[in-house]
Amino acid sequence: MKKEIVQHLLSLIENPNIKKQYNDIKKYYEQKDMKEEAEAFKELIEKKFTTKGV
Amino acid sequence: MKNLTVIMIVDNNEKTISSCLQSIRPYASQIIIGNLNSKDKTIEMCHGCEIIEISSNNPNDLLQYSKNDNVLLMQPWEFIASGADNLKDINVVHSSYIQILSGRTITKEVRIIKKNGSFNIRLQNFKKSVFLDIIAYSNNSNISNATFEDSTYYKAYSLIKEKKYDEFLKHADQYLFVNNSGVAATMLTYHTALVKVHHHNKSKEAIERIISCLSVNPLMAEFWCVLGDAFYLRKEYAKAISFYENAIILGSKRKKSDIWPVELDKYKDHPNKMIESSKVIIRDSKTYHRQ
Repeated sequence: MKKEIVQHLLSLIENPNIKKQYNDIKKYYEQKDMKEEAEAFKELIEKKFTTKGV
Repeated sequence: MKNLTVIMIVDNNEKTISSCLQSIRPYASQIIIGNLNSKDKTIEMCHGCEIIEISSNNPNDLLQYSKNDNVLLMQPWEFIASGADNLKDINVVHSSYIQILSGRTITKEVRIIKKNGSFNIRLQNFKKSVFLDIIAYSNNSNISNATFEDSTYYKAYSLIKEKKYDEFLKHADQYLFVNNSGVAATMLTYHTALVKVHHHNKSKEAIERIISCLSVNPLMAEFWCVLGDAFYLRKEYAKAISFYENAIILGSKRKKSDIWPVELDKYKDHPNKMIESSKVIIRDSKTYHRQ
């Protein structure tokens, strides 16, 4: 489990301004039924990529 | 009706004991003071309290004197800053943990138990405990406010307080070699990453360590801030801004009742300041290149 999230985080660190990286992490937490983390990343995506239009 | 006993161990605490007692007297029908070796005016100031002479610093030794079922452990340098109403008519079913504000850091500690229980400093069991929204303010700011006892762990934190960073990393890595999961190990990893960035200028090693922390808890603004600091150090300011933004947004989604310590300035002040600084550098750099 830890290896998978570490891979996602490594990808995010390479490209922290690309929406897909955050979506992958959100989906990961959804699949693991970690609702609070999934919800936090959902809000992050909304704030980071809607207001900026990235 | 007051049904709470407060216990505490004192050892020359005349400077702080008054505010501690003042904050708990309205809620406690009994205050038991274990006197280790006070030579100052501490005991004189504990009027109305039951004084027990003790030889070891173990609060569990005082539980036998409690007349109430509900027992709150306080330190003589703390006082209840908010949420004291939760102590009224308290009836502890499970042990309860409260928040301790120490400097700019909040830790969570099991402090209220039933008389027939015990304060287990070595292994605090948060899973079986109930969160009570009480904040005790500590005048004894101490980074080693840890959740369990281990000589290597404490040695590491005593070294960081003495600013002996190389020795800190050595002891921390020794500890982490054996204990690599849980809150204490993750926080120690975080502090090694801080040292790598701020004292050794080794951003790559800091990033590797902080990824490990984020894989355990991605809602810690502290971890995203170190990532931002590492990329700021590498002069990759756009990336740094992105990670500071994550600190603000994801940090705002933390549960107040979780057991992780909180460095308050990492949730707003530090990331905002660093975002502004990064933007200025990017703007100045563009202006310079245009010229």
